[in-house]
Amino acid sequence: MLNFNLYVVKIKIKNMKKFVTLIIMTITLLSCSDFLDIKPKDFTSPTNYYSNEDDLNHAIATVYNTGLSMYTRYLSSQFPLGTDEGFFKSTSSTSSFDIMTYKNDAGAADFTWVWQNLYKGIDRANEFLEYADQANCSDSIKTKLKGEALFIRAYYHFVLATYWGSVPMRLKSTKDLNSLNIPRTPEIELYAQIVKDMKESEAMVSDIDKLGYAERVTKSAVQGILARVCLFAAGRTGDKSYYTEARNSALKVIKSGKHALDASYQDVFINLMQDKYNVKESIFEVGFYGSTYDNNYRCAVFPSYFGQRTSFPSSNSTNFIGTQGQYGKGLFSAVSSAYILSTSYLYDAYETGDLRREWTMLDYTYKSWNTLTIVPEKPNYKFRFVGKFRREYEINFPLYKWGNSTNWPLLRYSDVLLMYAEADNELNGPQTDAIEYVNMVRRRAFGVDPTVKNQTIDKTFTSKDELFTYLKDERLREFAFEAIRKMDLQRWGIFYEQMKKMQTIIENTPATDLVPAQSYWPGVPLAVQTYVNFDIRNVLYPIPLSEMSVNKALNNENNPGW
Amino acid sequence: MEKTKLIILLLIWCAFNSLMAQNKQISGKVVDEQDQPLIGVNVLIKNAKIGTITDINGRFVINAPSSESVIMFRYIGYSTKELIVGENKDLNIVLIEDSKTLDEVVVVGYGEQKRMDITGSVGSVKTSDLTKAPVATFEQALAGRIAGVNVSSSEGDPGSAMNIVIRGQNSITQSNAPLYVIDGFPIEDFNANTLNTSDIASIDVLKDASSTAIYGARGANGVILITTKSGKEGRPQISYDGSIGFSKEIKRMELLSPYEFVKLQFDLNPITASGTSNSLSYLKPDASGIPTISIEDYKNIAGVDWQNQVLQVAPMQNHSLSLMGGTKATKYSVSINYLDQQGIIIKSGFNRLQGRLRLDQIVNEKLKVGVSLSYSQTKTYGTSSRFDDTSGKDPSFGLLYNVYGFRPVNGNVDMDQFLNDAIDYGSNETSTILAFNPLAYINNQTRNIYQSNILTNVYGEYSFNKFLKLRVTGGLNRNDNRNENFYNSQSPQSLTVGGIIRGINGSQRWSQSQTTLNENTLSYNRTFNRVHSFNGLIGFTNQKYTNQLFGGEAWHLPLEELNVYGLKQGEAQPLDTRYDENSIMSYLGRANYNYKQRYYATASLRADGSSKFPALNRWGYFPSVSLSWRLSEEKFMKSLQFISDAKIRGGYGEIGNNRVGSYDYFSALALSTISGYSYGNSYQQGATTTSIGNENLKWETTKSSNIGLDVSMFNQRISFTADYYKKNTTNLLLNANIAPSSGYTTARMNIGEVQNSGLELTLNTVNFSKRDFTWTSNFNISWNNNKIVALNDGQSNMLSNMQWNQNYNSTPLYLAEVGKPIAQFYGYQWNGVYQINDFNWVDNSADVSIKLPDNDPTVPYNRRTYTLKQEVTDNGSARSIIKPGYIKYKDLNGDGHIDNKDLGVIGDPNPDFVGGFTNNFTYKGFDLSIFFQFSVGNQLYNANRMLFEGAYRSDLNQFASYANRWSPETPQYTNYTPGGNGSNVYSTRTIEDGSYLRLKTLQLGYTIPTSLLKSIGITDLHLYCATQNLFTWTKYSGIDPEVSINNSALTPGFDYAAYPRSKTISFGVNAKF
Repeated sequence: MLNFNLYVVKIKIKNMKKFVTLIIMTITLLSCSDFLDIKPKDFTSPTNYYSNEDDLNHAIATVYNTGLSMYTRYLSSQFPLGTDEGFFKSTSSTSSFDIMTYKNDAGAADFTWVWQNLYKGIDRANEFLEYADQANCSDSIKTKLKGEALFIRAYYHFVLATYWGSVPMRLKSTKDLNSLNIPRTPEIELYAQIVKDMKESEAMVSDIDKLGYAERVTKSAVQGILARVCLFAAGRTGDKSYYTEARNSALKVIKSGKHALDASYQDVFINLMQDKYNVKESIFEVGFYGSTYDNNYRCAVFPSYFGQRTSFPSSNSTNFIGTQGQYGKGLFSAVSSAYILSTSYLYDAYETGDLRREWTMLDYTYKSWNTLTIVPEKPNYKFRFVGKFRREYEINFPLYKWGNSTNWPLLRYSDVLLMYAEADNELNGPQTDAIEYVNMVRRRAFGVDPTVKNQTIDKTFTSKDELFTYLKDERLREFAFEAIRKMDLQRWGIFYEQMKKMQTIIENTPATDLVPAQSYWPGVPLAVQTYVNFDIRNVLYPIPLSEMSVNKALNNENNPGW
Repeated sequence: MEKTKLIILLLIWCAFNSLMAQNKQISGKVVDEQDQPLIGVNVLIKNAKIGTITDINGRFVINAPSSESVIMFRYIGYSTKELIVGENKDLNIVLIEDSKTLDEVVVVGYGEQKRMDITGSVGSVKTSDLTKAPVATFEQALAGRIAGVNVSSSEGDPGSAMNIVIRGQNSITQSNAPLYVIDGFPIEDFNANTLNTSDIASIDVLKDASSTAIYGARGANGVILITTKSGKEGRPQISYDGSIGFSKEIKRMELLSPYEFVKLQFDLNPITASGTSNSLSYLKPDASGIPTISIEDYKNIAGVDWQNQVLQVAPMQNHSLSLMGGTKATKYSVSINYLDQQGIIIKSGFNRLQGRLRLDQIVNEKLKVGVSLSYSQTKTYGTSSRFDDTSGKDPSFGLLYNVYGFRPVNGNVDMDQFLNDAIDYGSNETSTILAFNPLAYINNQTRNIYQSNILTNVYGEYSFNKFLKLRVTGGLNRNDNRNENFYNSQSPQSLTVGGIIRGINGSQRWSQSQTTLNENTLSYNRTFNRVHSFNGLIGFTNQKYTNQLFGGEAWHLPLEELNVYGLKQGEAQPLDTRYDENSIMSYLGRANYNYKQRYYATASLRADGSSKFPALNRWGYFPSVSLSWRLSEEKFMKSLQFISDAKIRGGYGEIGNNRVGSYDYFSALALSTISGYSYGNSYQQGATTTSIGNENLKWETTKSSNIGLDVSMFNQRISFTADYYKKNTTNLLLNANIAPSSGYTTARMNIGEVQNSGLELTLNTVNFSKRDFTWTSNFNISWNNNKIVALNDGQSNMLSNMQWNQNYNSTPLYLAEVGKPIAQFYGYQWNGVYQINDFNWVDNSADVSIKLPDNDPTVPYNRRTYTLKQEVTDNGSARSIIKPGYIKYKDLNGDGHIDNKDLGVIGDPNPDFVGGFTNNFTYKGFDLSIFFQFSVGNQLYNANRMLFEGAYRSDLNQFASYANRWSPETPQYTNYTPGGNGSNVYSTRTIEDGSYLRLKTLQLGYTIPTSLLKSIGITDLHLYCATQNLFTWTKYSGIDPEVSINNSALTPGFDYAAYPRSKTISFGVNAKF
C-alpha cells in the first residue's frame, strides 16, 4: 500500500566545497483516502435499511414498542393515577411514586423517561414514513404499515398533549444536529394535525376482523381513538365542531358490525391476563410479551402494582395455595404490591347490584402475605385494593415476580358506545340511540344481556345535563384504573375541583377507615397527601428539565406554576 | 564548514587514539558502586582536546598535559567526576549512578534528548525506584513519583487497571487516559499487566503541549514513553530477580457484635425478632414457644465473623530471569517472568507469564536493524466484590454486601445449614429480599478473564552519513481476550429470586484486537561552527486498529458440572458480535536548535488524519513551539558559583484528543430483541436507530502553555524544577445532552470547554554523599485547578448518577457546573436527627385511667404518638411518619419542606494537592528506600454507610458505629434510629475527608560484598525486604481512601463495596551471574 521513492540529488550550495547529497524521500500512497475511509461493519444505517418487507416489519415493531412500552407501568399506573378513583397509599418514597402523589418537580426522572420515549417513538414513526417507500415490497403492505406509523405518530402526540398540553410537534425525523430545538405547538394546531393524521391513516390500515387480535392499529382502533381525541380536543379547546367528528367516528365503529360487548365484564380483564383475544370488545391493546424481568419493556409490570399485597408461588401450576415450604425455598415469584388503594368516592359511585364494583375493588384479601388463604373483605368497606388485574388469573407458568404478558387495554367497545352518547348528547341532547348504547353498557354491569332491553335496569334521560351527569359517573365506574379518569376530568375541566372535593372527603374519613379492613399489609395510610399536594399547576405536568435545559426554542417557559 | 568538519574529525580521532603530545601518562580503572567495571566511560582532560574511553575491563590510559590538569570522567546515567591529576598515576574511580544528571538521556517522542536540552515539560522516574515496590505492574508503583501525574486505582483487586491522569482532566465524557508509547509503538488502551517492570529501562512522561504535540491528535492527555532494556556490550549477564510476599487487608470494617446485632433486631421489629414460628427468632423458642435464650446471652456468643471467612493472607510470587549482553555489533536481551498474585478475597487473583526478546544488530557502518518481541498471557479470576449489574437488582446480590451484612448469628436456623446454604432461609420475609452466604457466593461462581498479548516491533536504521539517518519501523500489537462467567445452582445469580430467572447460566466472550503500525522518520543532527546545534526530524506514520468480539450466553444449563463448557445444552441467549476498525495516518516534523547550549528553540508540527472523523474534518494540524534559556551559561551567572545549572523554559502547543468510538459520526441502526413488539402473542424483533450521527464531528483541541524553571545547585546536590501550566480544551468531544423531544437524549458533539491550570514542584537533593553513606531525597507536589468553561449551548450544568444500587441509580450525585470543576458532589445538607422537643405528643394509652396530658414529659416513650411541630421542617417524607431520631436535612430555601429546591453542592472530590516524597539511604552494603504518597483536600462519598450505618433492612448486620444511635435515652448520637432514613437521597452525612498520607513503599536491602560471592559464581547479590501500603494516615472511616468505583471524570471518589486494598510484605533477591 505504501510506495517509497528515494531520490538522491546532488546540489552545490554556496560556500560549500563539496556537493551536498540530499536524499528526498517521497511516499506515495496508492490509496490514501481508502486507508482512512472506514465504514462500520457491525451495524447499518437508516439510509441503508428499509430495503424489503422484513425490514419494514422490524422497523414498525420498534415504532409500536418505543412509546407503547411506556404502558408497562408509567402510562398505565404512575401517570394516570392519583385521582378520585384511587391513590398511592404506601409511605415508600421512591421518586417513581412521587408522580402519583404530586410531589415531583420538573426534574423527575420518570417525566423525562416517558417524554423521551414518546418522542423517540415519534421519531421512529417519522423515520419509517420517510424511508418505507424505498423498500422493495408491494404497495399494499407499504400503505398499511405507513398508515400504522402515521396513526402511532399522532397517538403519541395525543398522549403528550393529554399530560403536557402544548408540546413541540415533530413531523420529520431528526437528522441534523443543528436544528434540534423547536418551540411548542399550540394545542389547537396540535389537535388539528393529530385528527388529520388519524383520518388519513384510517383509510390505510386493516380491518380488525382480518387480524383477529388487537395489538395492531386497525380501522376500528383508529376510529375509536379518533373519537377520544376529538372529545378531548373539544374539551380543551372549546371547539364544538370536534363533537361532530367524535360522534361520527364512534358511529363508524358501532355501525361496522364488527363489535359487541363481552357478556361478562370481568372476562374482559381475565382475557387480558391470559393472552386471549375478544376483538369485539377489546379493540386496541398494548401487546406485552413474555415475563423476563431483564427485558421489562416488552413485558407488563402494571399488574404487580395493583391487588392485595401477596406473592404467588411460581412453580405450582395447579393451584395457588402456597405453603411455607415453597416460600422457604425462595421460589415464590409473582408479586402484587398493593401500591394503589381505591376510594370511597369510587365505591359510592356504584349502585347496588353493579357487578363492576366487586371486580374493580377487591372484595377479599389474603390471610397473610405469603399464604393464599382467602379472607372476605368486610361488606361495605369503602377503601379497598384494586382488583382489575389479578395475578392469580395468570396462566403462563412459571410466573415471575414483576413482569408478565398481560396486555393493556387501550380502547374497549363500551368506551366507543359511551363516547358516542356523550358526543351526540352535546350536539343533540339525549337521543334514543345514545340512550340505548348507554343502557347496553349498564345492562352488562348488572349481569344481564346487554343487547336485550330490560325495564328494571335501563335508565331514561330527559335532559342533556341529566345524561351528561350520568355519563361522567358511568365512565368512572366502567373505566376505573384504565388510565381514562384523569383524561376525562381534564377535558371536562373539573380536575382541580374534583381533587379538592376528594381532599375534603378524605379529611373527614376516620384514619382507621383508610386501611382495608382485612388487610394483612396495612401500610400507613397517606391518603390525604395526594390531594393536599395537588395544586392547580398539577393539572398539567411540567415539561421535563432535561428538555427545558437544552431546548432553547422553549424560551424557558414551562407550564403554569412550574 | 570546513573547520567544523575538521574539528569533529579531530574529536573522533582523539577519542580513539591518544597520539597527542604527552606530558604525563595516567592509567586507571573506572567502576560503578557495585565494583563492576564500566565500559566506554569518556575520560577527558578538561580544556584540552585530549580524551579516551575505558576498555572492556574499565581500564584507561590517558596523557595529561600537566599535573594541574583536571581529569573528567563522564558516563551516561552516572555523575560526572572531576579531579586534579596531581601526582596520581594509577586511579581507581567509582562513578555514582545518578539518572538525574543533566547528561541523562530522556526519551522524547521519536527520539531522545539530554535532560539539559529539553525545552518542554518531561517527567522521568527512576526504574530502580519502581522496582522497589512489591507490586504486579509498573503503574501501581508510579503513583506519587512524578509531579502532575496522578495515578490511582479504583479499588484493590489484583490485575485491575490504574487510572492515570496527567495534569487534570481535559475531557468530560471521554477518556482522560494518556497515550502509551512502548518502544516507539503508540498504544491508546495499553494494558500494563502485559509488561514486566524489570524489563523497563526508562519511563518518561511528556506533560506539556510542546513535547506531546508530536503525537498530535492523541497527545492531549499526555504521553507515557516506556523504553525496555536492551543488551549492552560485554559478557553475557544473567540476572534473576525473585520475590515472595504476602498481602493482607489494610483494614477490616468493625461490625456489630452478636449482642448489639440482636439488640438492633429488637429495636427494628420486636415481633419477628422474638417470634415463635419463624426462623428469624433470635430467642430460639422451644416447641411450646418458650424462649431458650435471652438477648443478654448473646454477650457470650462469638458469632460468625464473615470477614474472617472470606479474607485471606494472600501469597504472591514474582520471578524474572534475564540474559543480556552483546558485542559491538550484536546486542541482545532475553527475559522471562512469572508472577502469581492471589487476592485477599479467597479465590481471586491474577497471574502472568511473560517473555521478551530484543535484538539489535549493526549490519554495517550504515545499517542497523533490530527486533523486539514480547508475549504475555495473564489470567484474572475471582468474583466481583459487588454486583456488576445494578439495574433493577438489589444490592444483596453483591459479595461485600453479604460479607458485611450477613447476620452473625444463626437464630433459629440450624448452624450447619446456616454456614453452608447459599441463601439465608430466615432472612427478611417482608421485603422479599434474601441474603446470600458470602462463602457460598464465592464458591458457586466462575469468573475468569484470560488475556494474551503479542507486541512486536522491527526496525531498520540507515545512516546516509553521520548527520542523516532514516529509520523505518513496523509493529504489531495483538490482544486476545476470553471472558468466562458461570453461575451454578447455588449461586445468587442463578436463583429464581428477586426477579432473576436465568437459572444456572454462563457466558463466554472472545475478542481480538490488533494494531499494525508503520513509521518512517528521517532525522538530521548536526552542529555547525561548534555553537549552532541543529536537530531535525520529519516522518510519516500510519496505524490501523481492528477489534472483533464474539460472545455467547446460555441460561438454564442442565449439566452444571460442565461449567462454562456446557453452554450448548442451555437456552441460548442472543449472541453478541462486534467489529470495530479505525486508522490513523500522520505526517510529522520537528526542529530543535540551540546556540552554545544556551538558547534553545524547538518547533514541531504533526498532521493527523483519522478515520474516526468524517472526510471534511479528517485532517488535524497540531503545532507547537518552545524556547528555553540556560541562564547558567551566561557570564553574569558565573559569579554565582553555587548554581550548577539554571534554565527557564516556555512553550505553547495545540494537541488533540480523538478518544471516541470508531464510528461515532455515523447514525446507527440495529436490530434488538428488546425494541420489538408482540402482535397476536408472537414477538416481532425490532429494528431501531440507536444513535444519531454527527457529520461535523472532529477531535477536541487542547491549547496548552507551560512555563518552567530548572535549577540545580551545589554541583547538582540540589536540583529543583517548577512548572506552571494552563490548558484550555475546546470543542470537547462531549456526549452532549440534546433535547429529548428530538428522539435522542445525547449526541456526540464538539461542545464545551474545560480549563486546567496548575503548578508542579519537584525537588531532588543529595543530602549526604560519602563513600559509606548516602542519602538522597525526591519530593514532588502538584496543584491542579480544573474548571468547566462552557457546556452545550448555554447549558449551565449536567447531573450524573452513580450506578450502584437500584434505589439510588436515578438520583444524581454529581454536578458538573460551568465555572466549577467537572465533578462536585450534589445532594442535601445533613442536619443530624430530630430530637424529642421537635415534636408534640399525646398519650396513646388505651386505658383512660392512666392517660396523661398531651406533651407531658412523664408519658412513657412507648405510649407516645408524636406529631412534628408545625414550625419544624420535614425531611422530605410525609410529616405524619417522622419520629424523633429520624434523619434531618437543612432547609436551604426556608419553605419548611425538604425537596429538590434544597439540593446543592455538598462536597468536592478533587484534591487540593497531591505528591510524593522518597528518601533513599545507603550505608555500606545496606540500602533503604522510603516512599510516602499523599493526597490532600479531596472528599469521598462513603455509600457503604448508607446501608451499614442505618439499618435500612431487618436482619442485616451493621458497622460497629451503628451501636451508637439515637434513642430517647441516648439523644447525643447522630446516627438515626432504625427505619429513620427518610427517602433515598444523598447527603453530607456520608461525605468524608479523603485526604491521606501513605507509607507506600519501604524497602530495606543488603548487597552481599562481591568478595564473598566470587566462589559461587555470582557477581552481584542483593537481598531485600519490601513492603507496600504499610501505613496510611487518614480520617476516612472506610477501608481505604484511595477508592473510586465506577471511576470517570464525572463520577470520582465514590466508595461502595470496593475490593479491599491490601498491604504487602515481600522478600526478594536480585542476583547477577
